[in-house]
Amino acid sequence: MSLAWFLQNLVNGLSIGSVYAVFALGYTLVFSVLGILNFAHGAVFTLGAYLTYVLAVGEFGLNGLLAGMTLPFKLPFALALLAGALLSGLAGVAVEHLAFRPLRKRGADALLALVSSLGVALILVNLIQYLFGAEIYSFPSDVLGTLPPAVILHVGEGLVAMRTIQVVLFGVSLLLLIGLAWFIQFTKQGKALRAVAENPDTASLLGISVDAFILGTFFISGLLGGLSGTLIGVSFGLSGPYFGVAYGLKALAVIVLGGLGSIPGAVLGGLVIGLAEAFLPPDMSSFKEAVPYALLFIVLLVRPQGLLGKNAEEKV
Amino acid sequence: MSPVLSVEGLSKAFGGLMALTDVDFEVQEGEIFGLIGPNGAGKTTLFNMLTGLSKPTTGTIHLLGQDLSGKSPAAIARLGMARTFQNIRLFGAMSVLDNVRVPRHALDKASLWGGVFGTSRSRRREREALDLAHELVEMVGLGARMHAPAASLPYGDRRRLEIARALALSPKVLLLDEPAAGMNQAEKQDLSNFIRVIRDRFGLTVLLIEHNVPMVMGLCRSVAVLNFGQLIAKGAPEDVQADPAVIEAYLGVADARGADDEVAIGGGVNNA
Amino acid sequence: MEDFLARYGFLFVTILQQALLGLSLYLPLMAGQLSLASIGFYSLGGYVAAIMGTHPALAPLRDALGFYVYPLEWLVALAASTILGAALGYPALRLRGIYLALATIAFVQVFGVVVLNMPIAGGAIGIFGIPQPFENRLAYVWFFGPLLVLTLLFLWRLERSGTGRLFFSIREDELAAGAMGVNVTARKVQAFVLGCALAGVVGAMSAPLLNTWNARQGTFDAAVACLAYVLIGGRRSKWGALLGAALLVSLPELLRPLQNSRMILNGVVLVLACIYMPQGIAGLFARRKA
Repeated sequence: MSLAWFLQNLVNGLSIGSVYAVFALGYTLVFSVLGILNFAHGAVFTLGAYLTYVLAVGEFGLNGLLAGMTLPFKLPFALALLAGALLSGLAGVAVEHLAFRPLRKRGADALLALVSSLGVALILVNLIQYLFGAEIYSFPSDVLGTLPPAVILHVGEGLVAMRTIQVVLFGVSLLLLIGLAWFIQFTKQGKALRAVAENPDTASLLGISVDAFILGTFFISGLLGGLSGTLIGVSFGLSGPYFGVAYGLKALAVIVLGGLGSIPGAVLGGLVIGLAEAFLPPDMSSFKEAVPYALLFIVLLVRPQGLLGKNAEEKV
Repeated sequence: MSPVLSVEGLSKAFGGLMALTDVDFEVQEGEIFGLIGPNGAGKTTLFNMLTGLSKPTTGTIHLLGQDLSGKSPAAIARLGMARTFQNIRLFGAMSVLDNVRVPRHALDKASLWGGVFGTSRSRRREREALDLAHELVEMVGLGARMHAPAASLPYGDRRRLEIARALALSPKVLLLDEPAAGMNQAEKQDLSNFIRVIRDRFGLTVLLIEHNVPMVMGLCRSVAVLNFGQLIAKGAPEDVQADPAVIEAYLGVADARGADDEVAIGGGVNNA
Repeated sequence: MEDFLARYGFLFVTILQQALLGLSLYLPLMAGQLSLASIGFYSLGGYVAAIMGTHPALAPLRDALGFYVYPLEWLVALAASTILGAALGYPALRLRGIYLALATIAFVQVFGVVVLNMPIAGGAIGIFGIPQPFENRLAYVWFFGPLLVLTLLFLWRLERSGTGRLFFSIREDELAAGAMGVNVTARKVQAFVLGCALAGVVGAMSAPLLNTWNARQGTFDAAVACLAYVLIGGRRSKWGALLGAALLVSLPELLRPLQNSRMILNGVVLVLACIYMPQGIAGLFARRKA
């Protein structure tokens, strides 16, 4: 239980937790606007990782329909990350058009939208498999250029290793969170978002086009999803077209833990779960996958509205 | 004679806002007790606490001498407190008859396996529940529509069905939340008569929220007036009507909202 | 004919099996509760049967009972699911709507990891070589067929009983049901435990059918598939689960000629069904009748 041990876990937990936070924000934004969980968010996460990979590496793997093809260019990682994220944002818009808009126009209930978004997730994931194949993709080790793989710090007796990728994860996530906070605090759309998250009935009162507003939300949500997919992908590899499913589920735990629809809640939830995973004792590491859900379960029983959610007594 | 219902020092705070402050009153057996006050005065909040849907911040409620603190809405209902809702909450997809059967099954604590295997005890109780439901549905004049889904009924019929459903609990106290909302003068007169009839027939004590002052004055033996969460007057209708605080509260409303009848329509908006 | 049976026998049995899982979701839905816990209990039931069918210490029991070891497995799975279902249901059913669904997903995930860490459940590999009572997979109709008929009969009786009406009243308006004296939590737990018990028995019947049992039997994807049966089939009718399972289980088979793109089309069907059949397949029949 040395200081170094503590710092090492802190570094690990914060870097992964910040990505969870970014990913979960995409979930919670859509929920706060539509009151619906978008289960295709995990698929957009996967898509973002694949798109960035292709843009940065220029190749399509060996098994899919596109096997053996190459792009005439390779983008530097930072640019590929950005382009991948923007394309994911467009994918988010497509998800809205396919799965949500037709149901919204019919006034269908939230459960159907949930299944419909699962249908879109199925389409996306299998499209990825069809095009890119089912094999594992890993970003080449030089994708970040000539940066050293890790910085080793001496703390007292022990060592703390800060992998470059962890710094990138944390840095990019932090930038995004700050950018998003600014956006929500100071732009017109951001303010509307906050108002709608507070009270869903206000959207139409604000004199904003509801459809455009929802599209914008899905674009940001997809962008955050694709970006976090890439970050996780660079860190751990892309273990196949389904690799977003597990993270999608984990992000679900994150947003409920923080309070469904609460933007600060998603950030807090992401960090809590990242840190909880990091600080899990090594002899319990085989239970790591259960940590977010066990936490979620306990929080739901003790505080059903989540850590930062509001408790509303039903109106009679 | 001890009161059927007694409320002592009842308060409710939502956040920092006091929805109800230190309310005391008693209702005697067989009374029709009117609760009036402007919109937002805390009348429905009071009903919600009486029925256990909302927990009082402080204060106690006794039904037939029994303390209701900490009891669930279901337990309170089974003790004999039935209600209707301002915005009508029926079991929409269920038939008229089934709506009225539910409280009876709840009182019977209907047995799962008894029902599935059709034991003689279960069959007897099912029959009793059905007979009672038939009787009540006929009484409120919905006999012809007893197999229709509750949601398909017109507004007035739904209000009547909700009263029938509440009566199926065989309650001691019946709470009616704006039963006359959206009704015209003749319908209000019918409703007043109907309330007296069921009071006598089922030995009820009735608590009534109503905006329509003439109706309350004609129907109730005692009246309590709520304004901004405080009980500003209680007593016989004529005394309350003459109370300066009440006149003040109601004139304020009349200024802002126009005539009483318009205020009464408020309950019907929820129906849209 | 034999060729046909070989090819479609397993499909047919799978439809019955998945329809039963769909019904295990329909039971809590009768009381308005969306729970995805069923798949965890399906997994539990499968492990019970797999362990009872393969554990060396139980060999004398198996020898003594012969074929009757299977009904015994079902009973043990039923008991285990009922107990765990009640233990989970009482705390979880205080949650409403989507929160309950999420809590049950969390349960499924935690259960999966816990099982992976239990030596008796065979870790990641799971348990294999589970004895099979029939040589032909179509013969499992003798397991799932009667269970399905019994379940439908049970539901038919339940819907017409006081308990069924109490369930429906909660589905229609939980708050009003409480105000009408319905012990809402107890009834929700009752509906939930019934679903868990059914899923447990289906799991116990499925372990021999699949021959192996591992943590992949109880994944989130499988839970979602069951939900899709009920929603696509029609969530307000007991026939919905059957219709939905029939459609969604046979769809990949029907689309087999399309090979790689069939799963994509599967997704398209799901989306279209949500948009054009909001009341599910059973809803289409109901409308025609009215």
